[in-house]
Amino acid sequence: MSSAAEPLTALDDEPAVRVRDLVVRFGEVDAVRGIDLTVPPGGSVALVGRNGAGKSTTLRVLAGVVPATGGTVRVGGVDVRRSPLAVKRLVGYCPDVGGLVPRATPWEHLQLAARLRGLVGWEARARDLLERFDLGGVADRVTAGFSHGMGRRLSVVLAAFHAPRVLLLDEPFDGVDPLGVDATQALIEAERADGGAVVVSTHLVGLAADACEVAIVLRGGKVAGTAPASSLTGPEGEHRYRAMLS
Amino acid sequence: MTRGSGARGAVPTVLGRSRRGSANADVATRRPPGPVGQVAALLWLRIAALRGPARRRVALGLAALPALAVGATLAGAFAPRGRVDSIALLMPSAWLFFLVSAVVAAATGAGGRQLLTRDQAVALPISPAADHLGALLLAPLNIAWSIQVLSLLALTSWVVGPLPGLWAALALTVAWIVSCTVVGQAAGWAVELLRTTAAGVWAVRLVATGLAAAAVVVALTGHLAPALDAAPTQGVVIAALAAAGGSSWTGWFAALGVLVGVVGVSWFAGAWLVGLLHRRPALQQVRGETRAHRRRPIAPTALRANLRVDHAAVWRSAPLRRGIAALGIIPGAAAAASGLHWSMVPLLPGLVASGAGLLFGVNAFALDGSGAMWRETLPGPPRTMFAARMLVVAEVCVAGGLVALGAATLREGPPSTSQVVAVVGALVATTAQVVARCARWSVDRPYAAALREARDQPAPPGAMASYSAQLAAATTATGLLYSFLAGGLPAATTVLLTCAFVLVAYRRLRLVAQAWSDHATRTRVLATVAGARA
Repeated sequence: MSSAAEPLTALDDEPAVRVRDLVVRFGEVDAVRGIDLTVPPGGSVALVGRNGAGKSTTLRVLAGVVPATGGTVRVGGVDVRRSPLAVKRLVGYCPDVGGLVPRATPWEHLQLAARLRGLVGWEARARDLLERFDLGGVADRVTAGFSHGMGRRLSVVLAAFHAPRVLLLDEPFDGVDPLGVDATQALIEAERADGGAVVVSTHLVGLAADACEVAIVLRGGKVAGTAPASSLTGPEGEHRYRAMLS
Repeated sequence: MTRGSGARGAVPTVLGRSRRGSANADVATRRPPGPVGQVAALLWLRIAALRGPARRRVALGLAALPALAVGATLAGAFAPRGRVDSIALLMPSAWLFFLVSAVVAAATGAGGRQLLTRDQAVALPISPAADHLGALLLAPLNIAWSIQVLSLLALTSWVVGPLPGLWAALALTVAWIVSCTVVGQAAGWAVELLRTTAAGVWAVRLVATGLAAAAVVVALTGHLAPALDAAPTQGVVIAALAAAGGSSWTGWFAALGVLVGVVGVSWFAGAWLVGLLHRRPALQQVRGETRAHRRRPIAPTALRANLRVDHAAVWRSAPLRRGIAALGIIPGAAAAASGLHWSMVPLLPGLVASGAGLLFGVNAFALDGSGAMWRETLPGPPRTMFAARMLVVAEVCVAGGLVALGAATLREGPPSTSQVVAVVGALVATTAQVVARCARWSVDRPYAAALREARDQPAPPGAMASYSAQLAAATTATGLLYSFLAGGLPAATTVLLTCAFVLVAYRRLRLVAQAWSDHATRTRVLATVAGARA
């Protein structure tokens, strides 16, 4: 697979993701109030925290979907505020809600993504991903008839389809069966092995620890703490995590 | 449901069991509300969800119909009475047309509007009777229903005149309106229930095609007038007029009794049919969502790729598909049956275009559902997606208009040049008008709407009523203008006027496209239609 998109101008020595003092405000609500985040190429970070902590909003800013109110956000060396289009070429994003056009088939989703991303020779990778996520048999059915877990798996496939430099996964394990979770974990590993950076937002700390090296705990739109993801698992880790949440 | 002060006694729960020590132990229950109480609660929720200007708009809208009804009645009663005797002969046909349109509207709308969509109401104990009642209460939010009701009231009061007995004729007219609405609703549920059976969809198509063909044959063979004269509405109309003139009340009481009985029977039949319908799987929807679609080669351009997904979103949606078919065929068949003259044909494209806009155009970005956010993550200029979506709205307007025009012109002889130009101009101008308005509404006031089930609509009922009124007013005015132009004015005048309409619409579209290119605006729209937080 190759991309016909314009050459990426990101600097090689830049972190894949660099966020400084990110602020996102929706009307009178401060969804994110000064988050710092750095992910190196090949690195992986889990954003964990309670509902409304700012995890999904942060990922949407990184994906170029939601504009930041303040702060600096660079993805692959590109300023998201200045070049959201270039950022969209760099990232693959799995939204937390749905993320699928209800009356289009998975194959049609992939075709649209391939056309807009300027991919050629993409069909083999598309088939492979669909098979790995057990979606090969439903590739020509509209997604409106999919179960929640099937939809989540397809969203992960669409995010990873173009082998993005930064993979952003928002609740990728939500409602997904163990085999789907395994496929997602393997995908994250492969992405990292290829030098891609991965940011995962999830409530499932155990799975986050399996997928990521570092966990950033968000609370009220701010960073409440940063720790090795594995240190938040087990009885002691859970206690530590709950202490950060409260 | 009430909450106690915190005592931990054993209090019966809704299941008749008791939970000692549970936080739920304080929850008491009383008799659940009936259909009226359930509908009242749903209406309260709808009203509570409105804020500021939206609430004022709804209040004004609710007050408008009764006010207009009183105005139409008074205007009819005191209007000049020339040709009243000849127009009075049309009353039975007008009443019959109201019944037919009530049935058709409910049948094509899969039963009618709903106070809450099925997804929203899935966790709430809403009975079939409440669903039925809600659909009936929302019937006046249909602009076609409202206009016909105003016309019937005005016609009745005009024919009777300012006599003391006018109230009797109006009472029977109102009884007719209510009974037709309830009968139409029940018929709509029956058709929808039939659709859920194995061969139901084809059966409904067969019956609808047969009825439409029969109507056209009756019209083409010159039997329309005798058929209308034999309509059962004659008896009701004569009873109303006789009572108003003070000559006989027997027929009036008999007609009123029959109509009240029809309302009662139809009400219970409708509630029973909804109950059956709620227990049936939506076979057509399930088939559509589980069948495999043929793969096509990748689209050659970004615009075509966007268009392909948007076309799929329209043509694979049961409510949209059905709506588009109804839009083209019903006005066309009605026009063919009535022998619409060429000078009146320019009214048709506007009627169809406004209907096409109401199918999904008023909230065009909702076609993507939750996939809207994903599409926004794809690289490409925002205007490509915007252009594709507006093209699809325009395509539906034009396609529906062409079908209607094709059917409408079956009976008429060859048109003059000015008539052809006027009809084409009306099609182009009203399409441009509708697309520009839909674009603005889609960006200014987006809603999360699945457009998946047969009764799904692109916006809440109040907003749809407002949109339909605005579109109908704009396109009807334009249609009348072109109707005037079809009377023999030079074709160049029509062409120039059409260019003006297109230019105005283009300017409006450009302004909306500029707003769409703003990242924050786009995010708000897409997050809303995706059901996510902006």
